[in-house]
Amino acid sequence: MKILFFTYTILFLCSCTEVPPILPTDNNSTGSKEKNVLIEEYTGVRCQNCPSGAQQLEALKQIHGDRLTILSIHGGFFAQPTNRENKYNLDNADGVALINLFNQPVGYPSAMVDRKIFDGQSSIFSGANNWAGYIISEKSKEAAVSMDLLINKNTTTRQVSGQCIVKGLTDLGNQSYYLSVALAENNIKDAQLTLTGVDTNYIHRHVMRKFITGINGKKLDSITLNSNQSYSFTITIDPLWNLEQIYLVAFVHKNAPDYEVIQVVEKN
Amino acid sequence: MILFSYSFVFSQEESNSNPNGTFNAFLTTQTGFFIRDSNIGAIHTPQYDHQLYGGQSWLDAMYSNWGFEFGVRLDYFQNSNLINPLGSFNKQGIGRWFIRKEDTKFGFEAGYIYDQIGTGIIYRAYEARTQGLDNALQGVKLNLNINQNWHLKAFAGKQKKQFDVYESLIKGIALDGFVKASDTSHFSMAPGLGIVNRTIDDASLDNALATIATYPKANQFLPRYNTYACTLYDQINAGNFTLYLESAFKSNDVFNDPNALRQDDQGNLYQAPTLIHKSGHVLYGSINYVKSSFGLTLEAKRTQYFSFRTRPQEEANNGLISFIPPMSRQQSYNLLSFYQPATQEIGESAFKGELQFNLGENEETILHISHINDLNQNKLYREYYAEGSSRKKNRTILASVQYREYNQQVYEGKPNAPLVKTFVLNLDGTFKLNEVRALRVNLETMTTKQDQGNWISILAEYSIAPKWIFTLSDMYNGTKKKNYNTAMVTYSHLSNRVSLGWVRQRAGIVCTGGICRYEPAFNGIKFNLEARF
Repeated sequence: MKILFFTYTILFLCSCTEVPPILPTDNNSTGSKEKNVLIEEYTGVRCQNCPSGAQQLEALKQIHGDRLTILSIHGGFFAQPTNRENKYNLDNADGVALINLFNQPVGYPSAMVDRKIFDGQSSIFSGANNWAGYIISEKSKEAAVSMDLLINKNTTTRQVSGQCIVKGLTDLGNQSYYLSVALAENNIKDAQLTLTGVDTNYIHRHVMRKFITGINGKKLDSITLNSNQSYSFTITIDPLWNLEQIYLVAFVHKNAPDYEVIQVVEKN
Repeated sequence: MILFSYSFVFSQEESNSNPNGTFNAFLTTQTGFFIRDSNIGAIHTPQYDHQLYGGQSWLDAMYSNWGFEFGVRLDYFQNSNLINPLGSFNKQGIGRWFIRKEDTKFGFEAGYIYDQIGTGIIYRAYEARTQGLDNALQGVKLNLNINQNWHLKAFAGKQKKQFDVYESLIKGIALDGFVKASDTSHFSMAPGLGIVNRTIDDASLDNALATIATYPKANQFLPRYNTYACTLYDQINAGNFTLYLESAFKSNDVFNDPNALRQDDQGNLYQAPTLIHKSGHVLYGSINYVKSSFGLTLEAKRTQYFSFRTRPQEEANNGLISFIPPMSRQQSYNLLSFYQPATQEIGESAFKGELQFNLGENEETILHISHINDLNQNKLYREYYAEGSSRKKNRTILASVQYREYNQQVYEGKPNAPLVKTFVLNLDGTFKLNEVRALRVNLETMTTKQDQGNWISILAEYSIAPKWIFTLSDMYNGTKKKNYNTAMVTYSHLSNRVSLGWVRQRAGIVCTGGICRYEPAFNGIKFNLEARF
């Protein structure tokens, strides 16, 4: 028995050499069936660590470009009450509804990547150190649907109208899928708590303003190979929102208990 | 894993006093009925918004027979905010099971195992329920008693995560000994040595690589799958002196530095949680002298880059493999424990000392000092504490005074927060009214110009032994003019204890053993039960 213990110790100490890993490169194109990735970041104007999370998201956006769509959800503990210096309320009823649906993450910033619980995780939320890996993992999949999104902004009536077309790239059987369309605004200048205090000139990006379809989305008909479904909508923009910076995000997803997003597209 | 493929054959000749074996069970229930109160911040969580009820229960059951011990624990989390203070966790099932056998030479344990090496610096698997922490190792442990004084143990497994496990593999081996020159010698020592290896699972390492690839070239590195931590420790007893020394080292490891400096595209530095790759160490020592009514304890510790977790992405209290001893006094009173320092795994240099002596037969005095800096000698925490107590037949009086400095920027991540300086006075008296009735009164005041300002805490506790305790208490914040009051009734019968009360509790950071957790504000009714069968 003693010999076994000593053998184990020697094996343990000798097993120090290993083949090193390599850093990944962005070469995971899946051709005509490219799947884009949605990251929904939970943030708040009173979260001092959130600006670093936003910087991490911008770094990821630079790497993945159009294949990564970001929605920043202002809501929960770090969104209310706002700082004294805030001019706007960036949180909204849909943000609160999402928190009620998915729960509030343990710490901010946290994000859902394609609303998926990844292997080894017990929560749908993950911290900034996980995002890059989850995005690569999701991006390497083949898409089950392709999406086109058209947007038309009327500066006179301050209306945004749009059409989303969902095309099946494979037969998805009887599983129910939903289409959610959200309206987001970029480059809002308003106060944000940072590690060095309140920054009144902070630029908030990818701020989710409203879910046009509601947060549960609009139920789609069965998705089959080459099937086409379209959804049209028109919405009047709040007077405080900057129409120029408004953009649309549309994504197809499952609903309870598994909310996984299978495709996403954005249009400015 | 040659060791673990070995089959054990145990002799069954041990006698058991109870031929049917022994069964024990222990039930703990903590429940809360949440009532919104925006005045103290008891809002914006699912429990206040729509669930209204939340709690958690644990039922531990253990059966011993034939020289074996079998245990199972059922965990129930129902709208619980223990795992996520701002959220709600709903899951129930088997939280732990184990089979254990120990004889004079060999022993084993399989299932969910709690254990530690030395003080736990390189490895500690333990449960702290009030902190929502349970990092048992799901695996196998083998013990070998080489002789009466030398013991070897080896273990391998995966760390528990609520009802799941992390995928990284943890292995370890430790040798503990005891040396004494002779039975009459006043000198003895208990040396030990331990090694722990963690192999990161592929998914976690791939994920870390993807994150590292987003960093500027200057911040990029190639992490290793395997990290080794080793420790050498020794407890030396010489007459009235006890000396404990431990030095722990960790090989290059990828882990999260929450306050690292990173470069943006323009070359500007900014502070952000960043994965870094460093080796680390902890040096820890304590000396203790006790003679009749005199006691002196001195402890010192230096920590550098000793974050050792199951996977590098884990933060806060998640995935901890190591436990670094805290260097502040564990206070139990409301205001004396108001600001407590969390152990800093990235860098900390700390010292604490405590002197205990008696002025008279029933008068005890304690003097304490805690001194914690970061490795750049920036002040993190100071505590100067003096306590005097007097015990007589019908009353016990305790008075204490504390001065404390607390770096809120570091411990609570509050930007630009000034160093919090507090002065606390504490008076506690227990008066025996007759053979069974007693009254305890506690008064504390905390004076500070920083953070939330001044506080007063008052508590009155009337007990009728051995069954009843009635408690009324209030914490009052002078700056915000807010009361946090509690009325509680506790009933005990044999090993069973039930408490029910109205609780209005402030939000704050609660620390136990240097491990801290954000405790949300509570307003409502609490019901707790502890029952032993």
